[in-house]
Amino acid sequence: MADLFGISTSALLAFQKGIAVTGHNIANASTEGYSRQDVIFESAPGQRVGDHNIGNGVRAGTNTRAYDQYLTEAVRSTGSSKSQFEIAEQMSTRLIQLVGDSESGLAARTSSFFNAVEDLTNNPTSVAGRQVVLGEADFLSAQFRTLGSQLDQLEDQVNLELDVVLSEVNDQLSSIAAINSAVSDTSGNVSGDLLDKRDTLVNQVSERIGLLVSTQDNGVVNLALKNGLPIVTGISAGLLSSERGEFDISETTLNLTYPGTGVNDISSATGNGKLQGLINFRDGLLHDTQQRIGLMAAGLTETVNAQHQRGLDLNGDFGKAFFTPTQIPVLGSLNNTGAASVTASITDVGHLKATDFSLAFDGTEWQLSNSSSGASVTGTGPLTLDGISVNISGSAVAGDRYEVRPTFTAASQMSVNISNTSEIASRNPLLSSTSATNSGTSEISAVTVSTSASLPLTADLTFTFNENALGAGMPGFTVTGATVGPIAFDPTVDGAGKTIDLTAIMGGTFTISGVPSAGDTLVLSNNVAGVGDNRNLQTLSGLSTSKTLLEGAASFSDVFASAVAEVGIQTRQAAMSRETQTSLHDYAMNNQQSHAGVNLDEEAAKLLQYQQAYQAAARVIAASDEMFQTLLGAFRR
Amino acid sequence: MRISTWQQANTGLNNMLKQQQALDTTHQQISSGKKILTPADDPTGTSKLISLSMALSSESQYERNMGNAENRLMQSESLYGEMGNVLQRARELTLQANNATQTNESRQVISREIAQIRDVMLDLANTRDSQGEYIFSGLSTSTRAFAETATGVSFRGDQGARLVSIAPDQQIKISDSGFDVFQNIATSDGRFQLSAAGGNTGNTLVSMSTQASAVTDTYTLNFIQASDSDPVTFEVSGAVSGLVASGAYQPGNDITFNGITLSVSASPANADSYSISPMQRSDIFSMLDTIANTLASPANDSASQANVQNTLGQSIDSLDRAMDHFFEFRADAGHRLARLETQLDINADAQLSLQTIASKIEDLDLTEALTRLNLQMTALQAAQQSYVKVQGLSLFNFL
Repeated sequence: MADLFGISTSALLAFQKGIAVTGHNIANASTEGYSRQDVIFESAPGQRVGDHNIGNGVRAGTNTRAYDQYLTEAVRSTGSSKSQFEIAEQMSTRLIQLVGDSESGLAARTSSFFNAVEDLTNNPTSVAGRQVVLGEADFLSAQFRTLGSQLDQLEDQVNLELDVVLSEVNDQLSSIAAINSAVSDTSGNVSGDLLDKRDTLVNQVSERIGLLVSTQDNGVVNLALKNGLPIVTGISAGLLSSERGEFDISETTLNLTYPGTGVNDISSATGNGKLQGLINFRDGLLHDTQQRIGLMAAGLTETVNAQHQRGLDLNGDFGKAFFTPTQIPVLGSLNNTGAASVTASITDVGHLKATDFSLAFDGTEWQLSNSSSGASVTGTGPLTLDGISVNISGSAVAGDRYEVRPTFTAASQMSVNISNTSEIASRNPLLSSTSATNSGTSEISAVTVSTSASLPLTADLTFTFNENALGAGMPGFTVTGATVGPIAFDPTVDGAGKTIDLTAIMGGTFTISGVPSAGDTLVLSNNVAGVGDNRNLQTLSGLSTSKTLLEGAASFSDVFASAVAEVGIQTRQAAMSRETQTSLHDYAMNNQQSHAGVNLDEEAAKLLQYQQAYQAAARVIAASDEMFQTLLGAFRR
Repeated sequence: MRISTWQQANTGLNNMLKQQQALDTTHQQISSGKKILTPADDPTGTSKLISLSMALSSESQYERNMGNAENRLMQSESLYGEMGNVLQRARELTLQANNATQTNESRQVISREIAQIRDVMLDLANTRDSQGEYIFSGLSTSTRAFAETATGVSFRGDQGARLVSIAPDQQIKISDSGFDVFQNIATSDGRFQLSAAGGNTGNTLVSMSTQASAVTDTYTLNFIQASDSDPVTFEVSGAVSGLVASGAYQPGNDITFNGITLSVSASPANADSYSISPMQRSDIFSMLDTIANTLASPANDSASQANVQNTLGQSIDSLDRAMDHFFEFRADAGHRLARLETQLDINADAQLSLQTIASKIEDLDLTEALTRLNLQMTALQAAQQSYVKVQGLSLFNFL
């Protein structure tokens, strides 16, 4: 009888435990990373009584934890990619809000500016019209500066976010190391809840930085980066930190300090995850956009300035720079030991590229190379490449490096250089005329000045037609006012218009057309009083649509449109990748949850089952009591 | 497959969130009327829209330019008409004066009226536009185009003309320089110039007849009659071409040389000389001055009367040329106005087609969007209902 009490007591205890575990499962049904636990019941072996072998009841074994290495790993790796694209989408969406407005964006402002210039061609002396041009130019450059500083701020935010993520990862790494220490102390008898906690932490780290995870036999996990550098081994954890860039303070690099391996730059070894997403965005799309907007700003500045300086303003002086000329920042490397001084300037805006350039000294020569295309030139300087020229002075040491950024800051620099309405150079510096005594029909048109170096003219240029200017039967114009030989002009051939290039004398070209009579004279003179001339304004406003940038392939608005399209495409791609990775992650989560998650119905069924079993065991005690009473009653008689 | 309770709740929740997101997008599209909410919705479409809005903005700028050009050209056109009328009056007066019945006094009256007409022309030539710019001073628009000097009216402007853009690579001239309008006028018959030497004593009337092409040399026609009994002979010699014609003068016979025909009548005197030179361009003011001066000086003998008639005859030719000249400018302004009208139509078409293209890219098909909104609302509602129902299912309800 005693053994019957023993059996049912063991059952009562076992099912109590079962109910407790079920209760724990129910309680943790919504706990993140919780793996459902289970009690393994095993029968207690009995002893032989005569022919029979009667068992000794039940024993509740250790709790098991529903866990599958493969499913957990799948959740981890899809989680890395998911959070990488989540942050990429989030960041590029912020960028798109800055550049994306087609109604009030840079393209619209640019066209308002050129429209104001075009408006002024109708009435070049109008002070109101000139004020509008200056106002629109101010508005346009303010828009550039605002966008430039917003993009800089976005970069700062990314860097801030990087630091936050790094400190989160550091906390998590040290917690993992602490759990590792607890696990190794308990020598195998570890609570499932502690392991769940550690798995959750490992998942959280891997959402931020790609990991290789390995588990030792004693239950300790070791974490390494994708390039094999360890960041947690047993109870020691590495420390992540950010360091200012070699050239630019804002282009931070990531360092891993780990006992034994020292300090390593891990900027390009972060694997999939939030850090990678942030760095890719900063060094990719964001910088790319900054460069393109900068190219538009530098292009606008330099192109408008060049044309403006070829015209005359209301006071009859050559135009000044319309926008403040673009300054090119040159950043020296942290590691430079020499004392060279490097300056750079834009020499040909049409060949300018939306990229940085690197400059390196090998002890004898400098090498200037385009950081995107790799094209390079070497020499002792000045070096010219892709529309910029670099001047070097002072003494450098081999290995010294510089970064030249022609377009990166151009948008933030943009401002209007002239302030007085009379300083708008509206007119062409030269004027053509025909003599009143001419009997022919020849005339000069399309006077185009490309450089003001030889202007104003010291004397009027007079072209006199002579049937034999270049010898018998060779007609042309003789020139007075400058030392230059006769210009061939055959009315029968050139009557429709012949372009004459006299850049050395009047800084450009002009066209003679018509049929001159002998002795007819044409005159080019300084445009002294032509305040109503709009020819330079015409040329300026024509710049709005002409393909002046990227080797004649793009207009200002083309550059802007391509920048916006690029941001749009990247945002879309990030959103699509995020969706794909999210569904992959959901799928992995579902698989893992399907295996390890708590199902309340299942727990209810188990509760019912254990409750009934408990009641039944109690009933066995009652039965054995009845049996005992029956036996006692038999003796009482 | 085993399903965990978390999974069940989470799947339902995620579905509802997705439906809400889609619904929100549709809602934003409908309330803005735009298909593209951010460039990410349609990157290529967005970059096309940027180009389209640039193009649209320059088309509307061209439209503004054309409006401005139209005003300027209409003003010029009416000025040219006015000038033509004034010259017509001058021509009538000159014709009237060139009549043998006129006396010195009546010629002087006409002379004063011609002088008035010249002043009117000068005022017209110095017309300013609404901005205060001199219309006819070329590019020097703040300089008074014509000024009175001791030697007559002189042009102070330049030969430039203002052009404005009316379409890509198309410009239209909206001003004519006073040099071309008032200064550079072909005189007499437009091909050659005939003038009598001051000391002529005969009463010959020389007028121009036919000439195939422009005269390039300066010829001198001399009449020679050594004594009254001799026959009158003539000689024509060119400065470059030398002696080209000579012979006895027969009254009424034309003198022909090098393709030029002069008709000569009445009786020349010895040493009368006429020069036939290449056509010279003249300004309208000196043309009128010449008439006024000619009429102002008394002509008492036959020689000076012939002189008056020779001069007036040429002046009438010149006035005809000048009227043609102003008419050409008027017609030219008219042509440019007509071109503007055509270009305005083209411009309106271009704007419409750009707007249509832009609308196709960015505007929302409202019917489609509303249908989509309904579907999405139904789907979200279904998701919500099924979520609540599924969540309500629990074995615990029966314990």
